[in-house]
Amino acid sequence: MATVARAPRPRWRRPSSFVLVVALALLIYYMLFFTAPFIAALVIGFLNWDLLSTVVPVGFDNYVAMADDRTFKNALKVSAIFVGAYVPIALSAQLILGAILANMRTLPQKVYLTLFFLPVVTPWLIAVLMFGYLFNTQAGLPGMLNDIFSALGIDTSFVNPLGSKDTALLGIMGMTGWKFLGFGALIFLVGINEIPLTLYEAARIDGAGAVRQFRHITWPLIRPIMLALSITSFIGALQIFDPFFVMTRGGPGDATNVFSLYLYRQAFDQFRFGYASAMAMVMFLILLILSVSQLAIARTRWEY
Amino acid sequence: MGLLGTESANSAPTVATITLSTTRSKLRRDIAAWTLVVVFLPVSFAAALPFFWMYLSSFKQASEIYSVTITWFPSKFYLGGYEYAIEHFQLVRAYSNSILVSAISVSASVMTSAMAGFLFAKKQFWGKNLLFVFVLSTLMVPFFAIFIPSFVVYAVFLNLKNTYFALILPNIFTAFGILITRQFLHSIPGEMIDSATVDGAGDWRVFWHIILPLSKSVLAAIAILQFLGAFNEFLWPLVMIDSRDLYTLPLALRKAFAAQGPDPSRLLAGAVLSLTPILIFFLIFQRHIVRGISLTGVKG
Repeated sequence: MATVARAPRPRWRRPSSFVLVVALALLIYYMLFFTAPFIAALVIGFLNWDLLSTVVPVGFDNYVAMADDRTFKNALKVSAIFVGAYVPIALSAQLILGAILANMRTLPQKVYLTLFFLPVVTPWLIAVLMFGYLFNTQAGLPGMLNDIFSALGIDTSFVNPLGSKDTALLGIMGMTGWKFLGFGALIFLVGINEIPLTLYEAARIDGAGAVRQFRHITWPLIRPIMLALSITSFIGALQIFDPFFVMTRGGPGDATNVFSLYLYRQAFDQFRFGYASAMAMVMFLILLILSVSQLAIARTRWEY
Repeated sequence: MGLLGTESANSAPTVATITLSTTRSKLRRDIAAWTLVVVFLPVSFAAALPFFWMYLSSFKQASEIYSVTITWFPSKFYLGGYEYAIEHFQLVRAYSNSILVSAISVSASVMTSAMAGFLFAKKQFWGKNLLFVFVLSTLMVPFFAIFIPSFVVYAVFLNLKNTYFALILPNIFTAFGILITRQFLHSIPGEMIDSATVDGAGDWRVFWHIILPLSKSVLAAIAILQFLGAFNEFLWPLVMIDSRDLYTLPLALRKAFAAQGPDPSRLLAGAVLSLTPILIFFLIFQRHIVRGISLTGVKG
């Protein structure tokens, strides 16, 4: 019987040992250290567990408890204010700095970039220490500003921002902005540098000034970077922990008791691991919704 | 044209007028650029102010730091803070711990990034895209979402509390490093690998002799960024390490803060001693950071 010629189908080939080992290692590692904990977090969220006594399944009680927990609702509010104010302001500042640096000659650009990057590599704890003294009413910046103004004949009374409920969050926000300014600026700078110079040349010949060049060339081309940075900034900002934990400890009152700090305390001070896990799931959901909606908005508004 | 460089390379009209106007506008732009630099000086000074202040104040006595009349430079060069910090903060120990943990984490993650990058960029196998999406999706999961169960797994099930291993294990694979290496290797033509394969080299040899040397620059960038990240990590060591001998630098600093004495120069001196090597490290390797960030594929 004559064989019917079949189109040669790509045959399944035995993967090499390299492929096998690396792919399996990846799969196992991420299953073990991401998927499993994630599912576990979901499960622990339905339990009452202090790690020592027996586990009590409580259904949705932890989630119901959140609705009645005033400190939790406060934490949600404080975090929303922090993230909602910090991310847009910080991104704008980072973009402006990146654009300014992009217009400098190589040497000053390098020097400034290095300067602004110093806070990025500084551990939070050291940043907290510096600002602890800088914010000091008597010996720090507030005192210095008061001195300068009184020399000008104006009476001011700047005080330590961390001492008051109304300004404590603002103080931490300023610190955070200072810490990450150089990082965002560098990303924008790299992005702006990738825009072909000929576009600006053409605009210049057409008589477009710096502002119009920015609006019609830089901004549209930088938007994908803005989107990526905005999503990662939201994820990062909601999880900022160190300065709240070390510097304000959530205070004064609960003015800086953010989501991440409250979650940590519920788990490691109160040993309510179930409750903390349920909170982590809420955080995950919030960030997921934020990221997806940003992507959706970007897609409908920005794609031509 | 050559005289004008690339500035007007794409302009066609009469050469003379173009030359005149571009040199003039070039001059104007030069002036604008340098004005920007000068105007910007105070802004960047403000950014660096906390550093100046910390370095100078670490040589001041408490009375001077808290005095109402603010001084910048120490009136008397005081070294008591440094003496105390060196003696009591166990910074050398903490530094060694931090370096050890970071170095092992970074070596591991650089190696695995190169391997996985090679795998995803150049190899074909069943389920590849699925695996890649899986790895990428871990980038979107906030740390807090897996924080509690990770703690339970490490502390209770694996019994790894107070071990270096607890700090290293989470860093063995990094999605970020895999992504960058894959992106880099993707842009490299496959001929070199193919010819090596024809010559009978297996994947391991190709990886070792071609891929690894080829991706040196990307791996350096990943290494620096990872190192700084691992070095500054706080929350995870905080819950994993109680034993003072195993404290990483941020934990040792926190301990010092908590036991804050009457003399702020001690803390400031401790902070200066901790920060200076980090800043030197950064200054030496900063060009890799810039390249690392340009390679992250910020294109979106």
